[in-house]
Amino acid sequence: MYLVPDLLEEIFLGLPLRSVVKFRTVSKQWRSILESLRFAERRRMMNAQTKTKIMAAGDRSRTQTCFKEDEEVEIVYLQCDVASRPSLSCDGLVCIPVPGWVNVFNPSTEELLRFSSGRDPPIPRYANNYVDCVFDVFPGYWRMGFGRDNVSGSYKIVRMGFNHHWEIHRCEILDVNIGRWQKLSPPPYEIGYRRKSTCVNGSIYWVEVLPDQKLLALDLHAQEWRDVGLPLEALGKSFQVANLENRLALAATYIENDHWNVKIWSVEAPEETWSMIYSIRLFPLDHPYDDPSSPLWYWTRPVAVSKKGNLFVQRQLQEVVQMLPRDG
Amino acid sequence: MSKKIIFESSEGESFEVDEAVALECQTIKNMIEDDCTDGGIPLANVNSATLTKVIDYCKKHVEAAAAAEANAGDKDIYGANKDIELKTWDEEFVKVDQPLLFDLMLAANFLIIPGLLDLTCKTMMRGKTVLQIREIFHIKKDYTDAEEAEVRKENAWAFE
Repeated sequence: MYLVPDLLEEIFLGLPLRSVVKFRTVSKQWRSILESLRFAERRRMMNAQTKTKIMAAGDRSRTQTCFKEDEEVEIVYLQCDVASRPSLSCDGLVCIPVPGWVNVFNPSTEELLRFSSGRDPPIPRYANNYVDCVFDVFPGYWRMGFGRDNVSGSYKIVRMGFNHHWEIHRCEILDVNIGRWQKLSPPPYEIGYRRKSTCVNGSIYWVEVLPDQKLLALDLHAQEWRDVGLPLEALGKSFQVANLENRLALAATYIENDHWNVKIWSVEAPEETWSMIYSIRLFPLDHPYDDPSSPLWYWTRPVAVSKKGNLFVQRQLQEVVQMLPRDG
Repeated sequence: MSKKIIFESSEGESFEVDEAVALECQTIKNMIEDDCTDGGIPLANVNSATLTKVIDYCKKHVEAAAAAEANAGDKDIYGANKDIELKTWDEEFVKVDQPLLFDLMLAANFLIIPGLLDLTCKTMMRGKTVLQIREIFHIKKDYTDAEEAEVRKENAWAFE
């Protein structure tokens, strides 16, 4: 049964990542197809259109997952000490800052790029481990961003560094194709260090909840900052941003009727108004995570919507849970 | 009455199918759009046994799509029950011997039936070990033992 390489490539496109990786061992010809840039790019494009991919970072033996690998979800296990660190992702690439370095990893090709991040600033006096541990705080307390410049096609990393008064005193951008940090004009206002950013359509978005509720955007090509209006109803709630099906989404978590709830809005285009797409009751208030004294500390963030319409949501403490289809 | 399309297998046998069923094949769809299906479509590289299966598959999926449309109103909250029925049918459908499965895959590729190509590829390769794959596809190992061990080590997580 001989298969021409072109057909082999078609067949390989339908395989889960585990098989793609495993079958590199079959023969040199198979390996050369499976490791080719063309195949990786086609697979990425196809998955972006048809498949929900959730990357579970963690050592396989130590990570417990609450859902099985199936048609809907593909799980990739990252090994080594980076696995438990907060990461950012864009188009299936993962950016994992570690002390002294920023790693950019492509799980489909297993290609890894490392960029020196220089000496991290000293730990600020105001750092609060008790609160920080429930958020995604990057090494050196950098506020990070990772995304794709839609004009040049380059992936870029952005970082903001703070001084002892939590003011941004360094702001830099690195083009993955160039590999050097370059100065970037600072954002128009202060923004904290605790929440992840997301990249949608060429811009990176950062949110802040305390002391001011803000949504800040950076156009990766023009390198211009802009302030984005928030949905009125989100004000006073704890929120996070995410890229949900290539749209900017904002998830606000709050207490109502003795329950934790989450509402998720999205915008189709940057200048459009927010529309609410999900409203979900999470769990009763006597849940162990409760700390009503600081409702702004609890958060959830949407991860993906699968083909069947299931919403996957990441909660504080690194869990990813599957939610019911939209009820809002 | 719906329009009929006639396929001719490599053995010269004719198969008459509804146009809707033939439209499941992207290749045929293009031909129908270009109006070049009169007098039948010869499929020189698809034999009768394979063609029978391919037509079964397309018929089932056309029916399932029609049924899904009719029931669109009373979808349960998971929206997936009828998918399960079709999925079970698909699973049964590919319980055939290796050579036929292989021919089905080639036919799905040639006729461009993405669902069938995906189904046959997955059935053929999913969960298979490297050794089984070499056996199915008659691939001679061209790695030395040391090279193979090295590649395996680089990709160790997939073997866990």
